[in-house]
Amino acid sequence: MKQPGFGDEVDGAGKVFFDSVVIDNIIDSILDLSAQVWTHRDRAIVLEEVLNEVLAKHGDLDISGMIEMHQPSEAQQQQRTAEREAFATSVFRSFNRDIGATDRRR
Amino acid sequence: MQKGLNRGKTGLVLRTPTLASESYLDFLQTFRGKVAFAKGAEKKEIYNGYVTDRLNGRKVEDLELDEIVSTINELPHARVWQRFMRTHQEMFWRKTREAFTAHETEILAGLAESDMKGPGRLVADPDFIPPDYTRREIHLQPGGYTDDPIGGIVHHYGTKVFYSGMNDRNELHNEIADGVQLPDDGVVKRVIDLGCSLGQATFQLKRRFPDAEVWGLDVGLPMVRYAHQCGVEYGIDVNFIQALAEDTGFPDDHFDVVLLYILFHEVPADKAQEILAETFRIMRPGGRVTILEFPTGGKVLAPLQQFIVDYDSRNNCEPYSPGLVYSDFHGVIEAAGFVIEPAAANSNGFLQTLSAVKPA
Repeated sequence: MKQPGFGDEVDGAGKVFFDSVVIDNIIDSILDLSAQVWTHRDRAIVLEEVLNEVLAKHGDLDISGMIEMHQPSEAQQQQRTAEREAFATSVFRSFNRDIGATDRRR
Repeated sequence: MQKGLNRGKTGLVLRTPTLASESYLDFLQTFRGKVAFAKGAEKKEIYNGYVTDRLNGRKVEDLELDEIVSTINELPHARVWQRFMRTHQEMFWRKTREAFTAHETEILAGLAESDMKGPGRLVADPDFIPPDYTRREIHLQPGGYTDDPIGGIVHHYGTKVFYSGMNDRNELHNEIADGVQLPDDGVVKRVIDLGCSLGQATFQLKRRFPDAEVWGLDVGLPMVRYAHQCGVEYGIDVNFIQALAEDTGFPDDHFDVVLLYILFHEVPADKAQEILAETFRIMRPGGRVTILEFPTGGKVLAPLQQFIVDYDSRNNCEPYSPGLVYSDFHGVIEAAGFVIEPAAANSNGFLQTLSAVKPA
C-alpha cells in the first residue's frame, strides 16, 4: 500500500460519486457556501450581542449608521479583497477537481 | 482583541482559535445530523427492501458486495448522501487543522511543558517508528494518528464534530468505560486501554478503578502526548505510552482488565491476530477483556449495513475495516485462547460489545 502524502485525503484528488463530476462539484460548493453563510450570520449574531452589551455601558451609539457610513482605508480594502478571494476559493474549490476524476468513481 | 487558544472550552474541548472557524465547524456539526442516510427502522427497511426485491430467488449472503453497492447506488439519494458525507468530512478536518495550525508553536510548547509533569507518566521511546500500516489518514484526518505533531488537539476538535457535539464531555467514552466488565474475582489492580487515542475512556477507567494502575496505549505519539497533557490538566494519575498494541512491552500476566475500543477495524487482519495474542499474554489468568467493535460476520449483515461499511472503507480512509467485518472475528478471539462470554449491549447501535476471559 502506497504511503499517502500529508493531507492527501482532504486536499488530494478527492472522490467522485456521480456520473458527471460537475454534480459532485456543485454539491461541494453548496455545502461550503452554506457553512460560509452560517459563519457570517453567526458573527453578526455575536456582533449584535457584543454591541448591545457595550451600548448598555456607554450610552446610545448609532451603530447601524456608523456601519453604513464607514470609509475603509486602503489597507482595510486590501484585507477585504484578500478575504473575498479566500471566500471564492473556498466555495468553488471543488471545481478545480481534475478532469480525470470520473475515473476514480467507485 | 485577543484571538487564539484562550477562547475557553465547550465542555472539555478547547474552542477553536477564531469565531469564524468555530462557526464554520458548528455548521458542519449540525449538518452531519441532518444528512443521516436511512436513519430509522422504516428507512432501513426501504433500502434493504430495494436490494432484496431484486434477489431473483437468491439469498442476501449469495450476493457479491459489488452487486449490493451498485444496486443501492441506483438510488439517487444514496449518491447524494455519499457526496455529503465525504465532503463534510473533508471540510471539517481541513478547517480544524487550518484553525489550529495557526497556533502550532504555542500548542507544541504546551505539550513540551506537560510531557514531564505528573501525576501520571508519559512513556515514549524516541527511536520508535510507527510501522507503515499505522500511518494512514484514518477518517481523512491529515497526518492520521501518527504524523501530525498537533494531531491530538486536531483530533479532539474533529471528533467533536464527528460526534455531533454529543461527546463534548466524554459522555460516550464514559459510557464505554462504565460498561467494562470485571474479572469474576473482582480484583482490579492494573488496567490498560489499548488503542486509547486521546485517553477519553482511559480517564474514566481511572475514575472507576481509583486504586488501580491505569495505562493508555496508542501508536500515535501526538495522541498520547495530548492525552497526557489532558491528564496533567485534570490531575488524574493515568499513564500513557506510545507503543504497538501487538508489542506492548508489558510483562506476562500483568493486567486484570483490558479495554479494546474500536481498534481492530483500524488494523490489518494479521495484526488483529497479533494484538489478541499480545492481549492474552499480558492479561493474568482470570482477567477480562472488553471489546467494542464494528459488526462482523459480513455476508450475513443486512445489505444496507454492508453498503455503509464499504462506503466507509473506500471513502473515509478505513482500509482495514472490511478485513474485520468479513472475518470470523469471534473465532479469532477464541483461537487466541479467550473464552467469550455474554456482554451487555452498548447504546451505539452499530458497534458490538464482546467480553472475553483468559481462563484461570
